[in-house]
Amino acid sequence: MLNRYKVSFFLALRSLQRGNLGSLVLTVVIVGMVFTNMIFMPSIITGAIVNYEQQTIETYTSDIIIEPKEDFRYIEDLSGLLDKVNRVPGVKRAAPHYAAGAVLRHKGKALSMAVEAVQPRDEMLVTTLSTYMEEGTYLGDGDTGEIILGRYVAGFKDSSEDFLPSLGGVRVGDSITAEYTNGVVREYRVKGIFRTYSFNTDYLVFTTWDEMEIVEGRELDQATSVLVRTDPGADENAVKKTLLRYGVQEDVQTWLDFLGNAYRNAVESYSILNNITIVVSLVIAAVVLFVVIMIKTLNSRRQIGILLAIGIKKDIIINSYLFQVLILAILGIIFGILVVLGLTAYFTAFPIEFPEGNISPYIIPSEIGINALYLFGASALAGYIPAWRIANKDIMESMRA
Amino acid sequence: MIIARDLYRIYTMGKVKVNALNGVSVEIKKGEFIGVIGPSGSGKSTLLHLLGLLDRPTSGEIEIDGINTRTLSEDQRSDFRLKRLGYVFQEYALVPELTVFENVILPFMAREEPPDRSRDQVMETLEIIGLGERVTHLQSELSGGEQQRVAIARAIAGKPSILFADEPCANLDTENSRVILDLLAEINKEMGQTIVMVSHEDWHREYFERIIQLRDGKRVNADRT
Repeated sequence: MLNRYKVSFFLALRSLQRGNLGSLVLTVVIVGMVFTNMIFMPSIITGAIVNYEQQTIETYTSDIIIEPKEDFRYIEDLSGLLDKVNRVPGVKRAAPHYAAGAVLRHKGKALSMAVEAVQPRDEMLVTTLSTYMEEGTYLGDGDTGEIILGRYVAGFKDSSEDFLPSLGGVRVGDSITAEYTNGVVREYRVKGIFRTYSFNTDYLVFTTWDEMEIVEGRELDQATSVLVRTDPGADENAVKKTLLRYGVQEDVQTWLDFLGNAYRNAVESYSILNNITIVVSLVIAAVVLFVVIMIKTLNSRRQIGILLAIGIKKDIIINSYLFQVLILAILGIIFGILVVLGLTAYFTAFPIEFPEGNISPYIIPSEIGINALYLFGASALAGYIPAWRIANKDIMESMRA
Repeated sequence: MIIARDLYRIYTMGKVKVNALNGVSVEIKKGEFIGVIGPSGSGKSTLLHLLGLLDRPTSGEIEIDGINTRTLSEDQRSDFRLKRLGYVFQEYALVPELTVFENVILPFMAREEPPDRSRDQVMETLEIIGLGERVTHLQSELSGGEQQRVAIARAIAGKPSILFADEPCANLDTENSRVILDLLAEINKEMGQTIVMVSHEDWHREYFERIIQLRDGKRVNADRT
């Protein structure tokens, strides 16, 4: 049996080596492009998803977010909770947020926003927002009368650049007024403007814990949320369970829980799109290879008839075409991988600019292997069917072709 | 040795039935050089295809070397053709992507014969037919006569029991035809190779030891030289 495969492989190799070079190169390029399409397009979608998740974790929720229990507005006994959480194995640091409703005003523009108070030193341990300052600087512990704005809150001078209602192009150093729902009115100097390219984050406003205590007129031992950064390599689900085991009574969610089912459904929808791309690519590759082998076998009908006549077994002939198509598929896949690596390197160096941020392709190595196997399988089928059909024709019929 | 009894071959073409062979019987002994002749449509090629196990008779029996070929499965017929029979067709029927040497050694590979012995046998045969210097050439680099000689080399290199030749000179000029016929005659004489050859050229008769003459699917002569 092995010998028959050897003969088939020999015939396949010679046919490719000494056949039409142009046709060989063109087929390899088409298979390579199909493979590129299978990997590269989904990698952009995956890149956008990964980018969104990274932005969310890094600037919005951290790894775990603790919120008040259902029907409660605040987390009470904040200091007790922080002591407890910071002792939990796997927790690097917890940082509280306190949100208060306010109307922000600047030069006739008004925005109803939640102003979030943070403790800057702790905050810098749970999010990387401080590294996204587009203008000015981040908050410092003890700052009062100062505020930092997300880019979409600050807005642009040219209102056509605004995605959302804004304050119309506030700059660092400008003054804005905040009218809190408790009636307190505060004048703030804009200390910085941050831009993370995440819609969620860039539509936030932050001030310090000390400033919020002035607004509230009391020492705050409450929070509207606590962000928790886990130790590097720790599994947030495991840490979440530990937090619950340590007796945290609040609503503990991982970043993924927080994004909720809507996000999971969106990712699933993207995954369906990716699968459609892969299936369509496979069909294209299969059809191209089917046509290539069909033409080859039709042109070689007489030769196939002669080979059958002199006693060469059908399976040797069929497998010779199968091997040809598999060799073409392998060469195409290798070419495709090189193209994908080239494109990935290029778009990593020069990311694609989207409103949500710069997106680089995100390739999961196992996906390359899986898609290569799919393409290999589809190619095998596409090569086998026409070869089988021709080889199973009557010898005399083939010889007369 | 071939014994064919009462061979009929009826082709159905739509609603029309064509009797290509009508009860032909032949007996071919080992070492004979047989010519199958007759006008176009007389059933020469049909008889050769039946004797060469490329086609099945509608009725009748064919026995080759004592084996009733009707009992053979498709796979066994393929094996039989590979191991016991050799073929030369009108068109040279070489694999264009293979060199002269590779075309001739292909059946050896399919028979799973030892590579060294196969190589020696192929080279020996190519020397005999005068193509020892052209082993690395492709089909496209050979003349028509040379291509047909390669086909003959492929057919005889494995020392088949019977060599079937279906109008091997049909595409050759007289000079090249004579080269091929001389070669077949030499193979028959020197190697004792049984040859059954179809021809429609009268001047080929001088090469045949015995002639089977057909007309309208029937044999019109008793065995004669």
